[in-house]
Amino acid sequence: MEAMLAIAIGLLSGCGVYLMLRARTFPVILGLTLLSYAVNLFLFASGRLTINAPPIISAEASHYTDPIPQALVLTAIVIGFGMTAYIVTLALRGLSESGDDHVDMAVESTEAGKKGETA
Amino acid sequence: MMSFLVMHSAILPVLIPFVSSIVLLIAARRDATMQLCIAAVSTLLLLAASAQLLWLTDHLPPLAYALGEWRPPFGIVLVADRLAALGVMLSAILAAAALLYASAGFDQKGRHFHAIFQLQLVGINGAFLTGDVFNLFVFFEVMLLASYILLAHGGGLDKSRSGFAYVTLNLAGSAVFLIALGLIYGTLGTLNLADIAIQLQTVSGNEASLVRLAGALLFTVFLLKAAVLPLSFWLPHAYAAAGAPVAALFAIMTKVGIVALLRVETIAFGPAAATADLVGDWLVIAALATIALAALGVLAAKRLQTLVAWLVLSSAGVLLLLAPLGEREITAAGLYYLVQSAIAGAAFFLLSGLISDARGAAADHLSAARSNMPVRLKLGFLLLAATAAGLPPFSGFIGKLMLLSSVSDASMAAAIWAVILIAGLLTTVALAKAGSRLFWETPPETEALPPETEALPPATQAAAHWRQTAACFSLMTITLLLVVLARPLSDFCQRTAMQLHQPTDYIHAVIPQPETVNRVNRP
Repeated sequence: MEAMLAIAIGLLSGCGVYLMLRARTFPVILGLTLLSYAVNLFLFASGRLTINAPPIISAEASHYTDPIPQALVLTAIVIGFGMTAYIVTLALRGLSESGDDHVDMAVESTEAGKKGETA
Repeated sequence: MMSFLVMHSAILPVLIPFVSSIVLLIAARRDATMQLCIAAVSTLLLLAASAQLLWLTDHLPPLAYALGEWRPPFGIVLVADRLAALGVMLSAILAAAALLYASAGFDQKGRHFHAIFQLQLVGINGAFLTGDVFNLFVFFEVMLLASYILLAHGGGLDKSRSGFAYVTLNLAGSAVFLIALGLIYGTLGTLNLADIAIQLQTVSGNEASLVRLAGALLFTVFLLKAAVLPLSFWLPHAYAAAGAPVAALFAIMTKVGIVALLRVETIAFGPAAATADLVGDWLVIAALATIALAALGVLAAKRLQTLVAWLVLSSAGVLLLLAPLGEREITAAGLYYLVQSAIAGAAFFLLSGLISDARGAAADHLSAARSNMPVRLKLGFLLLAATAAGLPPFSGFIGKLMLLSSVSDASMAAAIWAVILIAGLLTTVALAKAGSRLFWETPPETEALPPETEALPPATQAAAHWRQTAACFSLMTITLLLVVLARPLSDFCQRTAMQLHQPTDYIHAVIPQPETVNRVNRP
């Protein structure tokens, strides 16, 4: 199971980094999402992989799984959702304002562009 | 009542803006006056709470505040020591000035400015006060999410474009942060900073190398926030695109990264044998390269606000020297420099906004334009330029002098002196050039003016709102006060540095009896 999880994390983060380095906003956002999946899996694994064990104290349990990483992952997922929603909005706004979805700044049509500033 | 306030003083700087931002979102969605009142009351309360915290921490050992009475290392803990109190005080002062400036009309460009502004303060204050690294991550995210929205406030393509790059970079940073946290939890079994310091003492073998990796990743994230050279190119774009009051508040954000780096290094990673050499000469070199790059950026800037953004980067570079040099005297001098550079930087952003308004269509571009600039703006520019360049008798000079004299025994003293002094010279040249362009140069009569300059109605060229001027000039007064009160402040910085370099006090405040902590064997 460890090997499978490690391969999954590696694959996800590799694809995520590749996509993040693309020049258009949609692949970049997709890459960020994949990277955050990889990170969440990694955080989950930091409590060691335990099967069939409760995360809470119980009289019948002989061994436990660590509940803290699960709580951390939950927090990270919520934050990741919020961030992804915001960056999608931002990308859409950039698209509607400039008409193309390049990550780099298009100088023309900005106020600064008229004054020769390469923002 | 009083003791209740004292007991909860460590959480007040987080709680006050948090409650007011919720109230703003629920109760004052449309009423502009109401919004402003709530935000003003909250910021004044925050100033009072920060002042109280500063006084308390100066007279008491670090205050550990266990949320919900869950004793550390198991619960969430806030720790108020002098460094945290200093940071909170600084952010309250900048927030008050930025809010005053924004209340003149900038806040009404979007409906939720005040709520987000207060959330930004939650993030900044929380990041200063938190005692565990996972909540440091959470508060960083709160701070960044608010900053993304504030950055885009006011609209415009350059804002959404530079916003996109800023958000992407910081999301990637957050991913690295989480990986570091996972490694720390996986090896040490704790995320509480004081407990990390205790556990690091006994770590060995494979665990030690994993912890070193975690520490390196963690420092990388802090350096991204602090904008050290290979990771610094986002800063000038983002800060130059933000509105003036937002940029003024952002002046503290690079400082958050530096304080986090300083705290984690001095309390946990520095004293432990396994990770003692993580922060070393390489960071001095990176910091000096940052200063050199920033000096070139200041020279090349085409807008005043871009120029100030590069100045902020330059001060961040200077402050990055603190962690690797690691001497108490240097830290003390650096903390004075941190205070003065944050306030002067914020004042400069506000002044750049005022100048931009006064010049009409030419805005803050460093080009000739016809305008009637009030004398106070010229004097203000002179004062802030001299402060930023480190000319006597202003606070920038005192800060640099203390820093340079304290590093004279360090291993790379000659290089540090040379880079800081040459960068100061370049900054002086650039600021003199910028000032003469902005204030004295007029376009030749024959040259056709851009049509919008002519078309501008006289009203927009009229005097700035008194609140804007008041905000900017009160920050300038504070920079002058930093000169007059240099002695008490630098004494306080000495005490802060002393506390910071005695991590046992901090650890003892959080976990008084480590041996009694009931640790269960982990699966």
